[in-house]
Order: sequence, then structure tokens, then C-alpha cells
Amino acid sequence: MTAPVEARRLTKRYGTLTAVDNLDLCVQPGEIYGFLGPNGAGKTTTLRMLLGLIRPTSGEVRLFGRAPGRLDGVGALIEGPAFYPYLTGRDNLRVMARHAGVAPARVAAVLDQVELTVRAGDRYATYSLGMKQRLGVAATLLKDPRLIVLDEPTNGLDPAGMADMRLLVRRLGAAGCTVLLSSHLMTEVQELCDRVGVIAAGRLVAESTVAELRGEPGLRLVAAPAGRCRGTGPKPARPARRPGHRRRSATHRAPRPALPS
Amino acid sequence: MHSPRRLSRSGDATRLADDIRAETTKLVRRPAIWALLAIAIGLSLTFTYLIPYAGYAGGTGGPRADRGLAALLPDQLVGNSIGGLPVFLGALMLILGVLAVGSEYASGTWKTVVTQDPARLRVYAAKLVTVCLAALAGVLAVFAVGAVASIAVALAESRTMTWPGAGDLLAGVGAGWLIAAMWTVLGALSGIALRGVALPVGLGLVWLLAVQNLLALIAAPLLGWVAQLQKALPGPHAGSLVAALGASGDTPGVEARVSGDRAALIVGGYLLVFAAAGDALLRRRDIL
Ligand SMILES: Nc1ncnc2c1ncn2[C@@H]1O[C@H](COP(=O)(O)OP(=O)(O)OP(=O)(O)O)[C@@H](O)[C@H]1O
Ligand SMILES: [Mg+2]
Repeated sequence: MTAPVEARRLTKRYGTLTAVDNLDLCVQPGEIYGFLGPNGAGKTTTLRMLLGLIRPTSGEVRLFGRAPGRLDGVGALIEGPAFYPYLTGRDNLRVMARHAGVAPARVAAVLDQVELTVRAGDRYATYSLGMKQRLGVAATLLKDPRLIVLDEPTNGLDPAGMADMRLLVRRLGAAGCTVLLSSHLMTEVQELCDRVGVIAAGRLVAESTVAELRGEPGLRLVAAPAGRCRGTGPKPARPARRPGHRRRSATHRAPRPALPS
Repeated sequence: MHSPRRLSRSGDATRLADDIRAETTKLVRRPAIWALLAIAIGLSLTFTYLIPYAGYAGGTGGPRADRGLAALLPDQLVGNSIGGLPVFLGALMLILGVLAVGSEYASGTWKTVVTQDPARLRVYAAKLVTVCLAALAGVLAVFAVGAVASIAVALAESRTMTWPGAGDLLAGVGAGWLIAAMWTVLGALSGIALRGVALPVGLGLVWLLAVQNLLALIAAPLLGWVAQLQKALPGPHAGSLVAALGASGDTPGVEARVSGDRAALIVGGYLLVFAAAGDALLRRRDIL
């Protein structure tokens, strides 16, 4: 099985600013991968490039081995939900289901999954932040995806909403869906993910399994732009320590992740 | 979550039809679109029938009084219905195009749409098909309301009703649709180029309602090259096309400068150029 996400030497420059710098990323089938980094690190920019929303300055992206522009089986919520304010939540999803080429009958199911059925008949403009976020997640589920990309999915949610969201992500993972999730919260990533990549100033500075993360004082640091997709099997039952492209000791350009843990 | 049950249907034509249905829902459920239609009908009724008829009935003279009653009867339906398209109905059509496309930027929904269907060209084509059909509906509505108004005038003044021939009617609706579609697609293009709604609507209106007139009335008589340049613009060609089909020269923007056929060809050419330019921009640019 080909890797759901594979990016090589991905770079995006805006004028003199390098938002993403030679980033290598590989997410294995069935994995919940956490993409961790502070504000402005380049998480959203990377995810946008993966989905073909923005064009990389250089580098390559493959989703399930396909060039960008093919997103069947891929659901994504990038930087907050966006819908038509004058339509109801349900009609917004119907419209998106049509765009996705998915039977409108699917709408009821995804509304149920995010527990928004009761308010689905209200206009999107009247939704609270958390309800908007839930609708955004519902839209990512329309295609019954094999890969879900969630950019800070717990943004704007209250503690109960966050717990719901995490439960949903776990369920997706348990059902065999690959999840790529960005966050600035170490705790969230630790709680949810199998593997974590830390991005700072556009570079992937560390990559580790959560087990490693828990057992060690610091993250393993990426020595060089590496992270090739190697193993292509499903995720191991217990995340194993993987040899190779990571170096244990800190390097000067890979400081400690400036994140709460 | 992932199951072998695949819900997506295949086939490009099916997907295009799905996108068109999505776009239709967005348009039809949007109150602003209905407000535009109501304004289009209200303006044409007021300026083509109500005010001229009030002028005629009151016998007060005024710039259009010479047209008199004859201009309000059913046989003038074609010219009366499309006469507004070079300027004020055109402005409303432009707003329609901006709303349909620019709103995707304003509400940030492009990313939601293109993660569902990443074929930007297909989504854009669906948008153009939908707004052009909406433009046709607008043109037909103006014809229908005009027909009713002219019947009312004929009955009130006890005149015999002569209707335009079917061929003239068809040509009128076709030409009206062509012009309406051109402005609508220009609106779509400006929505993409300026990534929003407010600025393209503002600039579009300034162009259609002010700059076109300034060029025609002030600059063209003074400078030969402006006169030449002006002849190449879409507005004057729309004006020539409706003039060839019987629109009154009293209406702003209506003036026979070139033949109807030539004008239709050029308006059609602008339509295609605007559509292609929008596609090129949308495809090339990042979606944020
Ligand atoms: N369209 C753009 N034009 C110019 N600079 C941009 C653009 N988009 C992103 N950037 C810059 O790229 C850098 C990375 O931004 P990005 O949105 O990817 O960060 P992020 O990791 O998602 O941050 P956050 O956690 O705040 O969402 C930032 O410095 C940002 O200002
Ligand atoms: Mg971000």
C-alpha cells in the first residue's frame, strides 16, 4: 500500500520569507500523525500544499501515490471552517456533497457523527464557533475518507467539544482512517497521535513516536531533511523505535520544541 | 470510518452536473440574488414603461415624450426589453457574476469547495453555466414583465396589440442573453481577479455607469484615439447590438455604431475572453 502522505523537499517561499523549508514528510497508512509547531511555523502552509490549494515553490507531494489535484478519499479542514452564511448547516453539507460527487444521503450520517443534527436546520451564520468547527469536520467526513487532514481541529472548542473531537479522531483512527493533524498543543498530540513531527520556522526539526516522546526527556531531532517514506506497511501495534535518519543529540538549528508539554 | 462502500460516482459529465447543482443551490437560496432580480424588473418597468407612460398621460413633455405611446406598445417589446442591457441591466448582471464567484473569496469557501472537488476548471465551468442560466432567466423575466406592461398600456389606451414575430423575439432574447452573459462573466472575472465582492462591484459600477459615459460624451469627441479605442470596448458593442434590434436611441448606452452581426460577434468574443481569463487566474493562483 502506498503512503497516504508523502512530501519531499517541500518548500514554499513568499518573497524573502521561507514559510516551509525543504520539508520531508511521510505518513503511514492507518497512522495518526501529529504535526506540532508554534504559531507561524508553517503547518497550515504545508497542509495547503499537500492538498493542492497552494503551489509549492519546489518539492513534491504525493497523496496515495497520486499527484496533487486528486482528492478522492481525502477529507480536509484547513485553518478553520468556511461555509455559506445564508445556507443552513444541512444545506451547506448538501452543497459540499454535490461538489464531492457523493450521494446527499451521506449528509445525515456525518451530521450525526459530529452531533449537529439538532441544529442542522439553522443558518450557518447563526452558529457558534464550536458548531461551525463541527460542521467543518462533518464536511471532511463526506467522502468517507481514507485520509483526513485536520488543521488545529480543536480551535474554538470548549473542553467538552475538545474531548468530542479527540474521541472522533480516535474513532477515525480505529476504523483504519489515516489522520494528519496539526496542533500547537503537545498534550493533544501526545494523547491522540502515534507519531509526531515538530515543525519550527518551516523545518521539520524533530520526529518521534509518541512512545518515545513519553519515555524520553526530549524529542529526537531530525539531522537533515530526510524522513523518506520507508516502511510502507500499516502502523505497528506498538510504535517501534525506528533507526536511521534521526539523530539523538540536539543540533544547533534544532532547538527544543517551544511548546507546552 | 473507511469502508469498502464507495459513495463517489464517476464520470466527468456527472461530476460537472453535480457541481452545477451545487452552484444552483448556492444561487437560488441566496436572498441577494432575488433582490437583484426584483431590482432589474423594477428598474426596467419604471424607466421603460411607468415613467414614459406617466409623461405621456400627463402630457408634460420631457426628453422621452416624443416617443409617445407608440414606444410602449407590444410591438416594441424586443427593443424595450433589451435596451437596458448596455448599461443599467448590465450593471446588475455584473453584480450577479461578482456575487457568484467573488463571494467564494469573501466567505473563504473556495478551500472548502476545492477540497471536495479539486478540479478547479470544472467548478469554475459549473459556476459560469449557472450564472449564465441565471442571466437568461433575468432576461426572460424582463421580457415577461415588459409584455404584461405593454398589454396593460394597450388595453388602457384601447390600441390594437401587434406582437413582434417569433424570429424577432428569439433574436432579441438571444442577443439579450449574450450581452447579459458577457457582463455576468466579466463580473465573475473581476471577482476572481480582485478576490472578493466589494471592490469588483464598486469598480464594475464605476466603469459601467460613469467611465463609459465619460469616455463617450467627453473624451471621444475631443480625442480621435479615444473615439477609436472606445469603439473596441464591450459596452458600445452591446449598445450597437441592441440598437440593431430596435432599442431606442434615447436609452443610455444605446447607439448604432457597428452592424448588429458584427456587434454580436464582438460581444461573444469578449464573453469567451473573460471566461478564459478567469479560468487562467483561478488555476494559477493559490487558494488561501
Ligand atoms: N499568503 C501568504 N503570504 C505571505 N506569507 C504567508 C502567507 N501564508 C503564510 N505566510 C507566512 O508563512 C509562515 C507560516 O504560516 P502558517 O500559516 O503556515 O503557520 P502555522 O504553522 O499554520 O501557524 P498557526 O499555528 O498560527 O496557524 C508565517 O510566517 C506566515 O506569515
Ligand atoms: Mg495554521
